[in-house]
Parts: sequence; C-alpha cells; structure tokens
Amino acid sequence: MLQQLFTDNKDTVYGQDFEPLFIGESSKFYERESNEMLVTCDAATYLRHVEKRLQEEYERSQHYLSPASEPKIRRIVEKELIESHMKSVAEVTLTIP
Amino acid sequence: METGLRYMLINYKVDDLTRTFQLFRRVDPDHRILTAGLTAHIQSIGKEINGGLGVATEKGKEPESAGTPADSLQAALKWVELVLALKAKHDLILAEAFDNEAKMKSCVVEGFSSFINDNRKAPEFISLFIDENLKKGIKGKTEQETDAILENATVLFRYIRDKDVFERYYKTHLAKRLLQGRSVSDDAERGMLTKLRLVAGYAFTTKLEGMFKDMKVSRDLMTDYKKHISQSRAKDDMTPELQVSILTSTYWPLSFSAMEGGIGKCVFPPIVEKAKNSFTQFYLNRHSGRQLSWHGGMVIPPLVITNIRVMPMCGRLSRRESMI
Repeated sequence: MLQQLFTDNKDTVYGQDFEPLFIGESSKFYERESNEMLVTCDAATYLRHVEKRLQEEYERSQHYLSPASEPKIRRIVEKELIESHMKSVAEVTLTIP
Repeated sequence: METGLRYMLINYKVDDLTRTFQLFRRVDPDHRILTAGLTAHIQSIGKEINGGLGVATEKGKEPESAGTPADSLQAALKWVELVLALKAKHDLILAEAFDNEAKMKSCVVEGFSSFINDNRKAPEFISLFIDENLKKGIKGKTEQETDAILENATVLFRYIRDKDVFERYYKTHLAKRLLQGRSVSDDAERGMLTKLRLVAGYAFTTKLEGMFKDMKVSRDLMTDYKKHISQSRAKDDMTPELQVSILTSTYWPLSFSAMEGGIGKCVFPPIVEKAKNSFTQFYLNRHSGRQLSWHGGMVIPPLVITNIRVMPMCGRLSRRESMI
C-alpha cells in the first residue's frame, strides 16, 4: 500500500521518514517484548512465539510495506528475539518460577 | 522449573528441539551455541553415568566399588547399557530434530568421547560386555540379533582413545574363552574380530587372529598326537592323555611368573610329568628347534590343559611359527 504511493527509494517519504522510524520502533518493541516474555513463559512457548513473529513480519512486509524492507525487519526480529537470548535458551539457565 | 535446551533434550521434545535448531541457525549458521550446549549436556549426563557406578573419574583415585568380579561385571553391563541408551536417544534426536547436520553430529561424538574416556574403566567394561555376550548373551539369538549386539559394542569401542588398553583386556578375555571353550559361537567371535579390525585397522587384530590360528593348529595337532599315542604306547601304560594347546608366546597374554622357573610355577605330579615328556618328544620330533614352555595356569580339571610357549629359534619369526 505504502510502497504504491511512494516509490521505493531513499529519497521518498517512505525511505527517508517511515522506514527508519518503523525499524527503530520495532526494535524497541521486540527488545521489551522478549525480556518480558522470558520471565513469564517457558522456552518452548517463547520459541513458538518467535516463529509466529517472524511469519507476521514477513506477511506485513509483503502486503503493506515495501518488499525491500523485509530483510531489514527480519534482521531486527532475529536480533532482538533470537540472538539476544539464544544463550539463555541453550544453556541450562532458562527457568521460570 | 527448568525449560531450556537441557529440558527439551532430557524429555525428548523433538518439536521444540527442531524449532530451536531452525531458529538458531538463522543467526548462528555454524551452530556454535547449540553445539556447545549439546556437548555440555551429554558430558554432564555421562558424568552421572560414570559417577553412579562409583567409578573414579579423577586421575589417580581408585574406584570405590571395585568389589568382586561379579560386581564388576554387573557394573560393566549397567554402564554399557546406560551409555548405549543415551547414544540411541541422541542418534534419534540428531535425525529427527537436527537434520543430521554434520556439526551437530560431531558435537555429539565429542560429548560421548569425552565422558567415556574420562572413565578409566571404559575399555575393561566394553570388553566385559563383549565377553559376557559371546559366552552367554547371544545364546539362542538369531544372526541379526547377535550382530546388533556386537555392533553396539563396536560403537563404544570407536570412542575409546587408548585402543591398546582395550586390547589388553580383550586379549585376556578372549584367551579364557578360547582355552576354556566358553565361546558360544565361532562365527560370532570372528564377526567381532572383523568389526574391531574395521575400526582399528589390520595391525590391531593381528595378534588376536593369531590366537585363533593357534587354536586351530592345536586341534589338528592333538588329533595327530592321539593317533600317535594309540599306535605307540604299551597296553598297560596308564599315563594320562594330555590336552595341549600350542600358543605362540607373543600372541597370548601369558603370565611369565607361572612359567617354568617362575614364582607361580605349577608343579605337576610325576604321572603328568611323564605325559608331558611324551608330548614334548612328539612335538619336537615334528618341529625341531622350538622351545616349549609349560603353563599350568589355565588348567580345568579333570582335563589338563597345558599351554605351551613356543619360542622361535634360529631367528625365525614367531608369527610364522604359528602358521604351520
């Protein structure tokens, strides 16, 4: 939708104003979400949620955003939801009360 | 409650493990984090298996539950059973959750190899497991079932770093099976030998194969000797017949203290001495230039089985001696 209104280019409103804001806010959101989830739910539930988020972001990028944003937003989800927490999932430390 | 990787592995959560593997590989294509976790997990379970049997893993410390041979056999069988079960489980997890990925596979090997080699008794345990099966375990089992058991033993043998230590135990166990006729199946013995050769190479099994050859040569020789006696001796001669195995000294785990002149020397009654002399004469007439040395250590009453040490003379190789 947005990408039809504004051509996919660095100089457009999409490229200059929307995308950086979208990526930045998503990053903050997922950082907060993952930290909250990991104290309340178990590893298996958390990983299922990560899988769901990846799928959601993929579909959003295909339907509403520029497909060019897809690798960027995917990278954010992977970084905030997987990379930052994989050690605690792999090691024995991940416990829920 | 613990819910991480360890929990998934212990409780065999294939779906969750698959998900973990697939998600992690997006950001960690070399599986560094997952392999480290998996190896550590196997090592810690392995440590429990080693420790549960009172096996000392620290060097220089003697195991507490040495106990009787029966205890040590039970401990060996239990240990092998637990390790094999752990191996089977992780093979399944590798196939079902981790795509049999090469790095994942090698970290499982690393985990097993590490705790198996931490257990100083592992070579003995594996040899005892094989010994027990070749003597009793495979009785009444089909060829495939037997092969599966021996293959399991081979799986563990593969992990042993110090193959020589294993060979020492295997040789001792094999010697008893052969000399006391306790092996259930000659085919199974040969099968096991082939498996060991495939893992450790031809040189590793040369001596073991030599032991089999000695047994065959001895059987043929005894047939001839019996014929010789029945033709030559007088009717009222009460000298007992000996059952002798000719063993090449370099192949067999012979105790030198039990040899003639040694501290643990076996003193034979005169009538047996007479039979010994008769045999020695018979043997040296056939093969001159050899040195026979009698070992009474493997005697099973009422048959007298005496092991003779063949010493090559005139620079001939002992290996050739055994192949006559």
